[in-house]
Amino acid sequence: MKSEKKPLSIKIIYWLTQITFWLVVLVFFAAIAINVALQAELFGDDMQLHTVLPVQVNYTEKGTLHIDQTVQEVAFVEAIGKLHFINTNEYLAKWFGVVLLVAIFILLYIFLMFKNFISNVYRGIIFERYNIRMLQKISYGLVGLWLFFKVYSWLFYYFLARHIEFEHLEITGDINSYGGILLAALLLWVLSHIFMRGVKLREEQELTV
Amino acid sequence: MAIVVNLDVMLAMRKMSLTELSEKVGITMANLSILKKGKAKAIRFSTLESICDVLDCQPGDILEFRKEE
Repeated sequence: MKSEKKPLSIKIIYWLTQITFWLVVLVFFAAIAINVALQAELFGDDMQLHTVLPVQVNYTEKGTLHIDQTVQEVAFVEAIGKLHFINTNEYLAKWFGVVLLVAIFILLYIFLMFKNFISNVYRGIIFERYNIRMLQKISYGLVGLWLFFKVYSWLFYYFLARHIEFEHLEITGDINSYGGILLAALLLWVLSHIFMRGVKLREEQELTV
Repeated sequence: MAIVVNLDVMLAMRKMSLTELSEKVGITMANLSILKKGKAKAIRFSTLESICDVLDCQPGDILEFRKEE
């Protein structure tokens, strides 16, 4: 059978996916090692945790803007940033270690499914039921990741963020929506149904005599 | 399946093998086998016409509708 020439875009996506997947595997093992070290208290007292703040912050200080011979007052609002826990508490570090591990595990699952899907596409296996199920699994994985981030953000806000006191900053209750993840999941789910229709058409065509 | 393919019955009545039918109709053995086993999802009018021509029969002799219970 004459093999079809693969488009360059497929080749690029295939190799990028392979590289990214193995990088995620490395990160996963690094996260396990970090967790073991955290639970065994091998880091000592000098831990510096740097994490994304999942809620928006407002800067209370007002700024000024000179425009048209008048002074316009401005404020810096709804900013997203990172928190640095200086000399991080061990208990906190252990919890964040577990959160990191779970998030990377879900990511690893998504990347594994994506790698398998792209590998099949690279080999010319597209309209097969098991291949389309991988797309559905990626979409469920993304929903799982979204749920995890959402729960983590709520917990982060209720147990940590809202108790932090800053002189010029106020923590708002606007928790990140992570809508992009949910949208991607929805898009993949719809695509998987379209592809499944393609599978049925192919099967029908093959079983027409 | 509600539609039953009686190709094997017709072949037996005409004392013809599947290979012979395949050669006369010009359809691969694999496709005829799919049809004979009742695994086919659709049949082209041209295929049905060729089979009926070779076996000298009507479409109703090959295809039969049976109500599912």
